[in-house]
Amino acid sequence: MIRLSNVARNYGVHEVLRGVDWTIPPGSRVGLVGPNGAGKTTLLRLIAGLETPDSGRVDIVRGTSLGYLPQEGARLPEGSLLEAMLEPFREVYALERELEQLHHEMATANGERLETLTRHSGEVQHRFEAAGGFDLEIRAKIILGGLGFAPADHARPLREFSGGFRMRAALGSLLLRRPAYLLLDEPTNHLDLDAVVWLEAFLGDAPSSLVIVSHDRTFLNRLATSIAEVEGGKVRVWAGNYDYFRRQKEEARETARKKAAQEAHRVEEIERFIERFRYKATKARQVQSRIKMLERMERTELMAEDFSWNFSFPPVTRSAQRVAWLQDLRKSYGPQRVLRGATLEIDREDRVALVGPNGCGKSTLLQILAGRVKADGGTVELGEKVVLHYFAQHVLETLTPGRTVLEEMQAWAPALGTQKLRSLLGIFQFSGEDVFKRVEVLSGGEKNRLALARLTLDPGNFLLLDEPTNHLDLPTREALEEALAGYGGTLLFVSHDRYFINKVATRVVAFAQGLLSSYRGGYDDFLAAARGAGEPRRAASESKAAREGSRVPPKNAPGPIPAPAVPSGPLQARAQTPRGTSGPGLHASREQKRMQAETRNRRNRGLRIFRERIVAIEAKIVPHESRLKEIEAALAASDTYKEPGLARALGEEKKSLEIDLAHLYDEWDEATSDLQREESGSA
Amino acid sequence: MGTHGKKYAAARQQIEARPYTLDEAIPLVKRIKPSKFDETLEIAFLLGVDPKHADQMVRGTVILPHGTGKSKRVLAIATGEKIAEAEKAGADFAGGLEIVQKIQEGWTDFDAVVATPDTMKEVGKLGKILGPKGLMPNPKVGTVTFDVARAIQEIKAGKVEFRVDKTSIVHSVFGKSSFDEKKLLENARTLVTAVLRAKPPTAKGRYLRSVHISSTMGPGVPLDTASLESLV
Repeated sequence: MIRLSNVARNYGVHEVLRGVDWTIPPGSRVGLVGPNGAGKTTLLRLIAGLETPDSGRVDIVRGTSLGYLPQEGARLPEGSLLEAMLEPFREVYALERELEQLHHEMATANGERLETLTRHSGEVQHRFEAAGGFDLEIRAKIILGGLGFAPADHARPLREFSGGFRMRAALGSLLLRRPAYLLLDEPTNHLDLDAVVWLEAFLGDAPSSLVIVSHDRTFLNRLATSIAEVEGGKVRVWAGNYDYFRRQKEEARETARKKAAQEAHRVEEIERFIERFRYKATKARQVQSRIKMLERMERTELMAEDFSWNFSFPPVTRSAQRVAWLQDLRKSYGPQRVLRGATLEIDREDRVALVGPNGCGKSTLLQILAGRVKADGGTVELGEKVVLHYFAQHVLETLTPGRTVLEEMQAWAPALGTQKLRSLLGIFQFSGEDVFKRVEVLSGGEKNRLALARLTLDPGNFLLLDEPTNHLDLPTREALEEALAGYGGTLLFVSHDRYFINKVATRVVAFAQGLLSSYRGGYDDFLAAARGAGEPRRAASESKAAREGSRVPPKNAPGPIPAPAVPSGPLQARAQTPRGTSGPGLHASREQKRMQAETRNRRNRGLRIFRERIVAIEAKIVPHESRLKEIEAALAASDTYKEPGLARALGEEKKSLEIDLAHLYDEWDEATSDLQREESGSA
Repeated sequence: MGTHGKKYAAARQQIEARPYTLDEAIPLVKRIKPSKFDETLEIAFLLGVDPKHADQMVRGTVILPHGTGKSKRVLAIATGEKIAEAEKAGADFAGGLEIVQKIQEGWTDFDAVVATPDTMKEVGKLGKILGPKGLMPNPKVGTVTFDVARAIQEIKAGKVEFRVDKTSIVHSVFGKSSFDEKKLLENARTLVTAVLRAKPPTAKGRYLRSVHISSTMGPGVPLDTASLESLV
């Protein structure tokens, strides 16, 4: 059990967390979400004990083991990959060495000495076995395989691996340790799609409780059973996965909005009453009671709207029907052959997602198309009037260090005035002084936003995007999805974000052994089709026939493009009904909602009678009151008394009006009390 | 989750919602066994121990007086005359250090391994192969000994090893449904006594949380833990 009580944390004047109360019971699978800079990482670091709160407490039940994976720069011991993985199990390996030593001695000992050694070895072996020593290495190898390491990598020194692969190793080491709580900060950042899918399955079966910070919505949907939202320095926990949380939050916001509106209406009524009777002695008590009522009334706070923004691409010129035609492309980097005869045709308005493991040649294909890398063989043809623009995976490569954000934009579109460029940058969240930041000091997300802003100046009619969602927070990903939906050109992109692929792609092209297989639809359709037709990668490498079948023919040609996938199988079912939103549950809530709506309507019909009665009484009161005011004014005027009998007649009319009004007020009072009673009774 | 068949459901209905004594439960399990074949009778103990702590591991061996009804293929790894002794005692496979090589090449066609202490220097290298399968010989359970003949005979006679799993449950077999009730009762009592005696001194709270017996295909019958505890 982990409990945070009234935790606050500031960085200088910046208040990140204030009064956080959050309990994470054992067995939880929590997705920690919130905008960039909301304090998600701070929370994980506080729990992991890497930071201390400025006030409040972080209590963890004694003996609870924690495993924390930072976003970047996880430290691993030196040595080979496998050694680094097994390093936390030093004690277990000490037992193994002791056991070996004992076995050696047992080979030559005899008599009492042998008996002692044998007994002792039994004890040591028992402890070694209890600590899982026998299958530790096997488990380590399985985890490394799942995370995309080849068996040949196990003995390679860790320092030879790139930063991304070192992070994978750090994740593997954590998974091997099986701590009671796994605190993972963006675990999917360094993984390709296959590894993400593997990790999902692994964590799904893992005995540890999970706290995951991730911008991968599919990952959160499949793993999280509750969502902890960090907003305004506080944590609020919602049941269900990410999609369910979004729906619930929208409903809660709507409910709060309606409740606040009702309260405002009620306040207005009470204030009107107070205003009307403030100076009337007979109503003084009622007025006082209503003033108190106003003071005591609880006001519902409106929930802040989620931060969201949007942008759009300008209209593009129409290109030829056939946008690009790649034939028999071949490319090798030293001994490694990444493309071995890739063939692909892209038509106008196609939205093609390239998927495949890291290093399979997705980026190379985009770079060849963009003319940045030369193919070893094969042809690339672009259609008539095709204007191609390329968005690189490592955005910094395309930005010029030393330039400011504004200068970068000016260099791209010198004809546009500063004012126009600044308003465009404003849309991309670069406001005020932000435009004078140098590009090298921008965060990963900011660099990507700048590159996107630059792209909207002139996107061309054929966009090549290499991992455009990297480092983007959820609102920006959603803004990009929306913008691409409205983009009129052709799109070829590489992404590891399944949610993004599902939203944007109309075709998925999978890499396998340097060859391409094409599937219509989004990622889920691709998965279903790949499962139906057998693993495409294996199919491509196993036989020549399969290899030929896996090449992508022209889109209009009859043959091997698999038919649109019919969702089937457990994986598909899981993809469609994420945890916490199962079919029957949805039906139940729909039925429930219908019943609630009926009850609400019935109640409103009943209340309407009371409200109409009040309106009718008010309609009578108003002319009475205005006539009374007129009479009072007339009685105050000296002319009235010049005409004999007028003052008396007015006096009598006033008296009768006052009597009527008193009755009407009583009636109104009664009617409003009835309404209130009815409202509170039926609520 | 899979659903149960009609026979299972019918058998399930015959179990009352109360704990049974061993004397009542064994005839019941035999009577309600749903299948036609000679089902194995199993017992499961949920123990009040935390197997994550090495000092709370429950592990041991016990020789069932009437055996398990299953024949075990025993491999003996020994040197010199001990090989012949093992063969004489009924080992299915017996050999010297060449067997280690054979196992490293992938052969694991046996159910129990007995080794002499002087071979452990080589047999210890098989930990990664035999360990995960639960076949690694260990002096603590009497499978590393110079008295190979006795160890083999005990295994053949129905020696069972029990060990608490990570969910704090001990599973074991105690006979076949074809055994007569008296034999089954004696086997079960022996096993229960062994598990009770293996209680680690560090275990806190109630040791026997719940105990069930069942046949291979049949439903579990809950046992009265208080009556079992009185066996020791």
